[in-house]
Amino acid sequence: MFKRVTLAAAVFACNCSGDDTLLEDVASQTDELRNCSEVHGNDYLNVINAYLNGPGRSEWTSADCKLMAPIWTGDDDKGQLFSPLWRGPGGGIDDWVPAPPSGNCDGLKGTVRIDWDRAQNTVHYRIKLSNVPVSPTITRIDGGDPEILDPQNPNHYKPPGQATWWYNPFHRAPKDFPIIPSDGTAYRLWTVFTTFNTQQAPFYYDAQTLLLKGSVAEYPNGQPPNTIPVSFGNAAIYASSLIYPNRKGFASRDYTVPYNQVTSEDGYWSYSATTFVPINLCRSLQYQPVLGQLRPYSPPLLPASQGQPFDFILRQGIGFDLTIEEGRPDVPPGGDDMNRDYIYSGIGFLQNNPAVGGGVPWGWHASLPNAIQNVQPAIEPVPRCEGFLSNPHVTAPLFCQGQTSL
Amino acid sequence: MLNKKNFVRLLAGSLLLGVAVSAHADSNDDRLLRDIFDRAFRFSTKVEFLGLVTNQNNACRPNCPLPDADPNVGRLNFGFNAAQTAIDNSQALFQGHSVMLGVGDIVSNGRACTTCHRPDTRNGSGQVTEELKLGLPHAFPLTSTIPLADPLFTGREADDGAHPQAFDNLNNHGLVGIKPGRFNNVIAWNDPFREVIEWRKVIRLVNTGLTIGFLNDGRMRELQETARGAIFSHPQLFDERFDDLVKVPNPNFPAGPPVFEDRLRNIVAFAETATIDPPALRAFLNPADPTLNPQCSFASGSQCTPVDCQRVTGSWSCDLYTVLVKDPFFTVPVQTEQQRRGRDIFKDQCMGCHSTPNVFGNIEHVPGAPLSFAPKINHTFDVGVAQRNTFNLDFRAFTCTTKPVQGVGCPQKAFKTIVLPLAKMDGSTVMHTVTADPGAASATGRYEDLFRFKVPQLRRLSKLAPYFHDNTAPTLEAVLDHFQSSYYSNSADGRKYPIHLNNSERADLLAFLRIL
Repeated sequence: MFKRVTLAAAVFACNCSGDDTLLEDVASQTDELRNCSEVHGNDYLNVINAYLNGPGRSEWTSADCKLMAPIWTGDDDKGQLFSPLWRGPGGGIDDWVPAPPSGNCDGLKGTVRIDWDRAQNTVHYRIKLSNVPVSPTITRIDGGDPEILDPQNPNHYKPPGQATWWYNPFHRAPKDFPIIPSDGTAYRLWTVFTTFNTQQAPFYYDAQTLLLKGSVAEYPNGQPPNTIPVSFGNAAIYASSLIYPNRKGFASRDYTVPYNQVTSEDGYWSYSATTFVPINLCRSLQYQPVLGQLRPYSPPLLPASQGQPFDFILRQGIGFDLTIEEGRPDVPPGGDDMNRDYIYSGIGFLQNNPAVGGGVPWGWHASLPNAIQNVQPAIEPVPRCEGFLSNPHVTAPLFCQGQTSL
Repeated sequence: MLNKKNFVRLLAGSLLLGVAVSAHADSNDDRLLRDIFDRAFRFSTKVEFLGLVTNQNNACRPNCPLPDADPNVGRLNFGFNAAQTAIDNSQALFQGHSVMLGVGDIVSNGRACTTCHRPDTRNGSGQVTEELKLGLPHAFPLTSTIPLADPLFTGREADDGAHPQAFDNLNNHGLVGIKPGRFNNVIAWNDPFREVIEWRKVIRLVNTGLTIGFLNDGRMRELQETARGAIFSHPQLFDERFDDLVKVPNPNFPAGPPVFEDRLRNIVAFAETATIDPPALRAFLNPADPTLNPQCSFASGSQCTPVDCQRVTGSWSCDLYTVLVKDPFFTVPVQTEQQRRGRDIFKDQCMGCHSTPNVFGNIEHVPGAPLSFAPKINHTFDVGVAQRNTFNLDFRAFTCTTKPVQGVGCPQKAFKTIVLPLAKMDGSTVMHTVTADPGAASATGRYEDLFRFKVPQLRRLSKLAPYFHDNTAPTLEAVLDHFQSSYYSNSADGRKYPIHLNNSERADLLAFLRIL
């Protein structure tokens, strides 16, 4: 704390011609940058560029240490993206971001480097994690939702302010895990299209109850009878395989997928068209959706043959979401039977969103509700090292039959 | 999250230190962070635009393709008569049924697009006496040509919330009080991002379809979104609710599927196609359409010849788009030696920012469909105009002292100094006191975006006065005065793109700018 106060004081002293105020209780990532600088020199862009001009090394380099924001090179055909991963969910609605068990977030960081080459038909990932907890146990608290009851735990609800989990019949990730202790937990990097505008999918609501029955994933032959179709935008998410950090909390993983048809790391699957929808249509407004109830919805992963070309992905904007998942090494993203029970856990940990202009700085995260409603700012601050739930949307004004309040 | 106690303590501390918290810190660290910020965008310089007609290279946005978008109907929906010679709001889009169920019909304050984007001034025989390029009259005060009973004045409070300086700013400078975050229901009613006010010019509409990022600060990503925001913000008095009246739903919704009436798309089609100037630039709208982008030929009326192709590509065959891209001055009628010298000076000293060939906006943009994560799909610049605040505009909000009542507003207002918490690239939060136009930062919330604005297109420049986002340069000479001043050379982008002109070069450049 003393060092941070000193830094703030120094800023005042250096800029006394008239400065903005640097909050002393909002620790600056400049501390970390300067620590890197002391060891590796002061020339940020030269260090980053030198790293990008060489092969992505597996150890934690000075470039990984220094990297403050995404940096891009090249074009659609051949280029690179090198992005830091900071604490927080990748956008996130109902993502629980746990605190590290140690309570210490110093040095907690990840980096992702992607090198793409259309001529070589390659998209090469290099993912590194530093100081992440090894196999953290996840325990969530049931939340109250007046209409969506968890049949397993009908009486265990807490008020929204205390809850870190809501039962969602269309996203049945386990509340607590690992279910089998010996499995432990691991990390998975999701590459996320960040354009909700471009892909739409129909969802079907019961005409009488107005409750969600499913989407085109459940009804591939079209609209079922006695339903109301409503279209919602979605974002494609692509998975790495599970990443297991070593006992020091460090991990390095690299893999290559085809440029012309991007797949998950394992090569078996392409993407899940994930979105956020109201379970009860009366609790949403199509043009101001974040005023209403929103819940994660991830249909099964599509086969590899439906993977999109990487230039298409680039032009939709790329985001990253590192989640904590059950650690069973033989389980692909999507679970044993590829049902919707477990596409992703809803436990966010590290993130960035290079599609946000300037990327997402340390201590902030991209705001998914703001993105959906197209309001600014696109980023919002997150707690520095405490656990928190990202943007829960449990209840909202009713928009059916002229009702505008509960 | 911001800590109120520490915030107050720091504000007090800064006052004790004699620190003017409104000024923009500009240390070496800040310059490095700004460079890092700019490198964090994936900018492309390919000549492609994101309009309705040009979606062939992009993933489709909602509701496109738009085969039914009719620019001629759009002209009527914009608020013109069919000949575009006079205001006629009989088919204009500015009021109607709200999508908010239970709200019903919305009645506006009488404003339509043509309230600000006005037709040319004509004499009694119908001849144009003043080209307005779909903007406000050039002469101030505006009341010398527009009656006080015009919705421009009577509906003013919808924008500025009855700010005491607003009438003078509009009447004497042509500036509208804009609150970019006023309808953001995600944040509290008194959040500084909802209350911050900016005094901005009405942009004249030239080559609207050939720009990337809309409004003065580029915060709008595409034209449909821009038009929608304008239609809802300028006629509506209250900020508590954003009443979407363009997409008229089935009144029985949700019992039946929504059906939409999309006059908005007609307006966009009109604005995108009818403002292209000179006409050859229509080839940019859709290079795949041979009616817009013909092959060059010697035929009568062809806008380019095989000789042009040979000159720019080495081949005798090409299309108009290729010539326009390869020869950035192809459509500029350079005739005199002075204009030619001016063109070379422009190329050397101005095209670092005004880089779009034949349009002379800035071509750097994020490729692909407009992203969900707003805003900034273009490259904005700080050239020192905002900090100069030539008109000494008051950037305090004039705002409710208590939470407004829906549909009623607030009973009492007072001035309030706005302090924006801006995210800095190193993760810290800077409490920025707004005493000058924050530029793109008031939309993005990013410290590195302070005082940045979109690079405007320059065609028909001599008809576009007054200049800059705040109308502070009445002439082209005044524009060059600014770019030769310390306000520019000390600005963030002035340092990166220095301009040096002697008197002779300045005269040559002016001669060139006048023929754009």
